[in-house]
Amino acid sequence: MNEAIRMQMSAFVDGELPENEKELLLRRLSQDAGLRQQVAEYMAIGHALRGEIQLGGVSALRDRVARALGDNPEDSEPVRAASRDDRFVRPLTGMAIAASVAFVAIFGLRQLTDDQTVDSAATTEVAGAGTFLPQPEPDDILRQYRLLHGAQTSYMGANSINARLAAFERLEADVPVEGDAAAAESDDDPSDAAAAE
Amino acid sequence: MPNESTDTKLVKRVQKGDKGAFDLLVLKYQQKIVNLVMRYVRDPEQALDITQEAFIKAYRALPRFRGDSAFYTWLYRIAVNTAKNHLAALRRRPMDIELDLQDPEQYDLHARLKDTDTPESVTIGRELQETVERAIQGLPEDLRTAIILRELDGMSYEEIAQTMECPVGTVRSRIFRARDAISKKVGTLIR
Repeated sequence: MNEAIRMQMSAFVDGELPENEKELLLRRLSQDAGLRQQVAEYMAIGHALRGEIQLGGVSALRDRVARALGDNPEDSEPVRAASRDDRFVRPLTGMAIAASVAFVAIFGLRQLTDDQTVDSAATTEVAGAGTFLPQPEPDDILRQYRLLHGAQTSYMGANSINARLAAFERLEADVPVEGDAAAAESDDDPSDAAAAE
Repeated sequence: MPNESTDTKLVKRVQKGDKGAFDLLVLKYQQKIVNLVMRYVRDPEQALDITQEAFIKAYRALPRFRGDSAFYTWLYRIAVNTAKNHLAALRRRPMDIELDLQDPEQYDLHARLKDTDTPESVTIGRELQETVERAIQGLPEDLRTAIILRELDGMSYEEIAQTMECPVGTVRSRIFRARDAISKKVGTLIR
């Protein structure tokens, strides 16, 4: 780490680094943990000089956050908004499954109805042999189809609306909406803390 | 550290997948957020856990952060909400909630931190402070004056330049050299 970069970091800590030098330094800092550690040291010197009490463990907080984010496989990928592919592929997959279920149920229903009409004698024969298995009535088949289809559509519905909403609510519970008037009027106005910066 | 435009730059970098930029935001705001959370919970360990949780929530929500508000304002709200939800989960009444948080006579965070800190961290903190003070005393006068005007009086480089009757570039250099000298003396205590 050369002296010029360290001098830039010192000015950066004070908010005095000229704009034209900032972009490059930020890039360097983002890529080099050693440089960030140097920034942490310059900041710690300031805290100590001002006699500010640092809660034990604060210095390890960065590592904790980094570990928590790095350990989660979902977070090892760059943060990004849900892609267009994800948004379209998921509902399409659900629709394809529902269509397959409908196809199988309707085709099966037609097949069974035909069988019952044409081969009623064969059914009697089986019954006569004492191995009668109750054949489903068309109404039962339709009911089964509706149940199956209902389960699938409710699953899709849950997946696309309720489940997503629930997951979203869990994640968003503590994340404020930007420009939220209620938040702005709260007692916890951050301006005091910001002013202290 | 620098102003909001730096935050905006860092946020944009995080949104492009740069975790190092998020580490810088954590570094910049961790102490403030811990101090804020300590207004809600007594236990320092819990305060650290809540702070960690708030940063993680912020990281995960950053793709949707549009920058309509300042990053710190947004982070502040996340931390407050996280702390309040933590208290709600514990069904415990928040401490000091009825106090005027801007009144230092009513609210002394440092006193509470002193009460709750571990003996080991207090010892290290005191040692660090004493070492920094000794290092300051050992600096040449121009470096000592520059760093004191900056860190203790909070003067800008321009103001320091006027006070010390020297160019801004010289101020920048003096403050850096002061920090560098102190850093060499206290390095092992900080790292």
